[in-house]
Amino acid sequence: MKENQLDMSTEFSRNVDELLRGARAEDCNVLSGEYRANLEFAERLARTRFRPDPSFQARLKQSLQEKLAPEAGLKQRLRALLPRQEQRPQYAPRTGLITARRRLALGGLLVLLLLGGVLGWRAASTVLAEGEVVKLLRLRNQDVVVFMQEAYRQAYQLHTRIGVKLVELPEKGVEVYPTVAAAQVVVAFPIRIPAYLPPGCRLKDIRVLEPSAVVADYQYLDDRYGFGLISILQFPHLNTRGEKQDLFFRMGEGTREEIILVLDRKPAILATGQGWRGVRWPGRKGYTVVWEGYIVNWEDGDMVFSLWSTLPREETLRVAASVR
Amino acid sequence: MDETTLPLRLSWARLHMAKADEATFEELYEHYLPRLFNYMIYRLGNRQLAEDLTATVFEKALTRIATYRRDRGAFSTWLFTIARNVITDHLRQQARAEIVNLDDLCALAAPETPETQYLRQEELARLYTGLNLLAEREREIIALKFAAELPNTRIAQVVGLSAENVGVILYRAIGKLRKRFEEENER
Repeated sequence: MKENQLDMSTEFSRNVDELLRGARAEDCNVLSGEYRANLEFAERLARTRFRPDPSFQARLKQSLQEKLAPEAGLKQRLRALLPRQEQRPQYAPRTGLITARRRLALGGLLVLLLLGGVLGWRAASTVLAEGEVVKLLRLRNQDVVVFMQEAYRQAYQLHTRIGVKLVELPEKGVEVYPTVAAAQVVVAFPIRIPAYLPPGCRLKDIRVLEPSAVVADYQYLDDRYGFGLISILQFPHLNTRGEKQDLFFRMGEGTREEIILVLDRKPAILATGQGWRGVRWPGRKGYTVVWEGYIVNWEDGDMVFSLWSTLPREETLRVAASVR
Repeated sequence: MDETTLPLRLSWARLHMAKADEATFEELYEHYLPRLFNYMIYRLGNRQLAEDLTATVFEKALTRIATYRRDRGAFSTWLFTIARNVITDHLRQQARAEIVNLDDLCALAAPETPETQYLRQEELARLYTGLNLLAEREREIIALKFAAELPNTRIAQVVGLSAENVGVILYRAIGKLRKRFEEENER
């Protein structure tokens, strides 16, 4: 009797599961009238579904998605997936490792510039060594020196208080265009630009790494650095040869990474850090380069973006979110 | 692979993981919201309350998602265990039973033809009265079966019984509910 009841209830549950899946219950002629009556009743129950109001559904979804925003639950949950990095970025100590010869040369140029009584943006350039261009800028009351070493495709900014910021450029295939329109002619995809830029920020140039990757560089005046830079690297997942591209701005050790949501809550990686490294120059001593900033990496459709900036965090994210 | 590129390669993998998480959230939400809400209505019979507690359950689930262990049970089991606890906490705080608003229930039921809708309204009223007369555990198991649409094995995990026991209780509870339903019909 007990076994029969167990069998009957198991069979009943199985039939109810079928009904809930939208199927019909199996023929149950061999079973009792009570069983059949229960099953018919269960069928009516299975048809009775209370639907949430669509406005409630949408409201709750939005509220939950907001809770998934960086400041709340998802961030914490995603953080748990990330390795712990307690090291916080700090302002870089002033670098003091520039060679004496270079100091002399730069000092001379700075003196010349200062003597000229230049105010606001003013630039001069000279060739210090073969293939090496040095630009001097006087910005407000701060002196900024920009090095560009063509042989290594590396550009340096030196601020007299903060130190040196490094931007790495690929070694080959770089062509520089003054405007987006000019670069667009040789690029295989529509170049996206930020709708928002901080006041005073302007396009410096567009570097076309190859037809399937570009870097747009923007400059701005910054009280902290004197001279700030935003670089937006963009490229399709696959290059013109159908090969997967893997180009990102990099930071040194100690970089703090977190997953954030930008661009209509699409996830992105925000890397915060300061980099330092020794740079070898042919025939010269290496010196330490120090810089600090943020990198945001994200995808939008088939495109991949990597934004490097010395702006404050929120401003960096605002620029990233405005890239369309 | 040179070591400077390694961290960002890993990060990229994590970015995809985050994307997957967001997609998973959408999928889970679309899948479980109707069932969770249905379950709340079965248990509470009040639309506003069902909405509030459904929201509470989802919020709790999101903030506790890190505690979910796939190897310890299905996601639906975990989610409906939270739902059950939320209802238990709520009922504990209430000195009186919630007022069942039958108009609400009728408005929430799936739309049908006017004729069958009228019959359904009658049925809903009798169904809810019948459910209220069942023991708490019976009502719970019916809600987990017909609203949450869980198989007996998962209901068993939520309520802490064996799957066989769940099957037996379900069969008996449906029998009781049917009889009360029919008695009401005959009046």
